[in-house]
Amino acid sequence: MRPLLALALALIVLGSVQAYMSFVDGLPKYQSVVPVETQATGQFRLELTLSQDAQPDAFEAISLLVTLPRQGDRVIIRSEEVISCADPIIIDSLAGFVAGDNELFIQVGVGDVGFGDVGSAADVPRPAAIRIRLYRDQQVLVEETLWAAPGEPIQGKVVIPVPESPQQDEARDHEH
Amino acid sequence: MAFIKVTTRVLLTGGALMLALTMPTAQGQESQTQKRLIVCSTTQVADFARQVVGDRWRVACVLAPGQDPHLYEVKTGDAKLVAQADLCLENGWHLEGNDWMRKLAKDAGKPIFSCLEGVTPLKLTEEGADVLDPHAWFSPKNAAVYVTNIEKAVSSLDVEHAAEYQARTALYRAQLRTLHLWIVRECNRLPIKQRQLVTSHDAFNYFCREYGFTAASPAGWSTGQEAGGGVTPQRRRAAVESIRKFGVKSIFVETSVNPKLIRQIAADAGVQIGGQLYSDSMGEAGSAGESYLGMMRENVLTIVQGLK
Repeated sequence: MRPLLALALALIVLGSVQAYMSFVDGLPKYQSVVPVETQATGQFRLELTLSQDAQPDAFEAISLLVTLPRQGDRVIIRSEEVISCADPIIIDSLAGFVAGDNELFIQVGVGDVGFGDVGSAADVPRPAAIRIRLYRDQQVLVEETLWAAPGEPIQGKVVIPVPESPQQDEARDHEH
Repeated sequence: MAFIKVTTRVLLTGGALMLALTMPTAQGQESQTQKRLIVCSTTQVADFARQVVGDRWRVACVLAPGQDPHLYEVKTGDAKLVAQADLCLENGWHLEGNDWMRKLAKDAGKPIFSCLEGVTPLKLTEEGADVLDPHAWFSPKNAAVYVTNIEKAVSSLDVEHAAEYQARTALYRAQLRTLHLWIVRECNRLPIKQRQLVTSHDAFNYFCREYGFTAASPAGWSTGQEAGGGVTPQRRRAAVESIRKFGVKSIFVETSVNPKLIRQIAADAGVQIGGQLYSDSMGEAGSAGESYLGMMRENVLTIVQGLK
């Protein structure tokens, strides 16, 4: 009697498991949706204006780095040389922007900070800044300024919402 | 009979359970013995190595906290440790007295790298002998070179994870920059004329150059008997004169050097002992100076407080 009972219980348990697995297999499968990116139209131009020369320091060899993080961290500019702040840095015909939110990552070195005497000008280094302007078809799309703490390099991301077409830029501007 | 059957079933079930629990769990996790081993000479180099490799390698240090690398005598256990190493790291420029670390590595046939590659040395001329001051880590800028060299050495042996080592090194260099800026701000609270640093031995020249101090000590660059090292009557006299001339408020003992001499000088010159500095060795585990960042932070706080 007991072996028969044990066999019956085993069949019930196994049957239940099989029924549950069949039920799960029969459920509609989740379809992951891969967002389709649309390349933004228009001519993009990037203008960077520095408050002080960009230069590497003892801790980082890079003076200026600009990348597109959402496009596989594509490098737009990477320099290890001193870059004068006298003139803005212009990059014409910048490609890689998609319709929707884009990001620019920017890092600017400010050179080494040395010691100073109490109360001297060298006592407190100036905070550095960089103004970022992105143009589309010669219209300013985004303007933002990144600041750093005194003596620290500038590092930050700029989010750039890009409408699919320049006409949508105008419509957005007229709303203001 | 039924009791035997039940007992047998229980034992079999329990045995199966124990076997399942003791079998290796997550595949892909390296056991401790499978990880590669870096053996370092000094505690600072070991700390830098840990920052670069994370948990991917084991890091061991020949010297214990508080031990003097200039005077260290190799033990049997050190050779056994180095024999297991995949990589050896030393400070270099004879910080390790008689190059004991290099000899250990060479005897064991292990690759050894010096962390000082690419550092601009301070040259000391002591009693006609030119030596390179090996205490370069006292400038965070040089510490950045140390970790970069360690990263290159490790990446050359483990190319697969090079990007990971580079990422950790970049983060640590940013931390070193923050440390450097903090030290500049702290030291700038002291007028330059008050920045006279008198310590047990001549280990702080890179720190002094970086932050506007003048160094003086009764013992040379080494606590051993190498050329330019050790205590001389001239150095002791110069240290006392420096204290009196500049009206130095405090002088400092070091954790890895016998404080007897510096205490005598303090008594002779009529100044106080401002505190204890970590010099050729970091602190014990659990102390504020157990890491390089902690060591430098505590040193600067002690120095600035002692000289204000």
